[in-house]
Amino acid sequence: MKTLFLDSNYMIHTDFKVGYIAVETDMFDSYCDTALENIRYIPKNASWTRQDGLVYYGPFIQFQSTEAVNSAQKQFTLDSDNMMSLADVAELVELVYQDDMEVIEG
Amino acid sequence: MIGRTNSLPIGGGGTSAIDAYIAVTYPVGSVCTCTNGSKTLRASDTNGLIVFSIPSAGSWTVTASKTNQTASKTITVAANNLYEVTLNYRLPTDIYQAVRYIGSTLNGNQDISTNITPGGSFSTLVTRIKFSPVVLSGTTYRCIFAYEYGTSGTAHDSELYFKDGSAEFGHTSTNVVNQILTGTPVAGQVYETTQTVNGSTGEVTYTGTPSGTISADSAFANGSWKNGSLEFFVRAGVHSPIQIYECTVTKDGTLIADLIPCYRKSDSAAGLWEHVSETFYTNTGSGTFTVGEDIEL
Repeated sequence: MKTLFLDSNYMIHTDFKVGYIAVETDMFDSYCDTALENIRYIPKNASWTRQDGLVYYGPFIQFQSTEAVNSAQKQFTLDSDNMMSLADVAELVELVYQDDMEVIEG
Repeated sequence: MIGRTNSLPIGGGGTSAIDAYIAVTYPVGSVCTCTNGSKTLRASDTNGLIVFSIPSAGSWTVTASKTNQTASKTITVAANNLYEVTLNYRLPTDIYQAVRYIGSTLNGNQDISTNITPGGSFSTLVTRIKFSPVVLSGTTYRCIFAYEYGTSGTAHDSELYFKDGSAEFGHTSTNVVNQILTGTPVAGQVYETTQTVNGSTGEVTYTGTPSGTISADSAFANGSWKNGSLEFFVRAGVHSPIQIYECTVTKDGTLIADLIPCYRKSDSAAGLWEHVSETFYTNTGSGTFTVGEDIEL
């Protein structure tokens, strides 16, 4: 669960500024800050009008992908996967330790 | 052919020498023409309706075009007939906005079930899909697309999946369990593969990434089960964090589905527009699809 902030155009920001609306959601937990800052998130029951007059109705989530965003997200995902692997190893070590302790303690 | 009309819109070439007309309904704002190769008639305005007065029998092609979009149909014209033609672009852009992809969120329950089916009988079924895994974590088999026949508990299905924890692509069905394909899923990477099914033997071949061959899949060898319908993001209740960029289905050489990611402008609902049947498939699960940036087709 992350706390994110929306500006008047419903673009996501990871840092608070005056005028931003705070939202708590787990929908974007798998995204890096660079990707998050390129997402328009219009919550349910909210709406946003584009310059040409087209009205968007929430819930609506749109990514503005660029090479930089894609690259940052890929790296973030790789790092996350590696972190998960480390966590898996740690869990395995813990299980082996517990098994050993049970044998030692009889 | 349709019945004669009492009044014809002006601009299609005057009175027809052979008393043959083509009435065309086309997207408003488009240029509409009618040609037999040597003579071209052109609608005088772009209001979406024109009746062309055809001067000679034979093959005539009507075309509508508008910024990067074209639609056309060819009619064999005979004397003393009135033909009615409707031209639509691949995506009706006055109603929908095309996007690069639609995607599901991590642990989301978004999915799309369609009415697209091989229809119980075919020699060759070709499904081409462009997709991207959103994340790789956990140990779940994640459906990319599947043909599913029957209801939960009695379903017979055939699925292309990726398994996130062990980073594998595979094909699974009622009788083919976890057949691993060549290729390694990477989160954020876009893949394109074409699945070709032999309707007689049930052999399934993937070309592109992933790739590989499954010798016989009963879900495609059994006539009834070939009534299965195409679904995305889910199989047997298990949802997948993926993005769909495009998908087409060709049955015995005929395009039966052309799915385009988009959102509906009137309510911002995201989904897949199917061009052949002109059907909009939106979320049949829960949650909200993500969409990529707006694009022009």
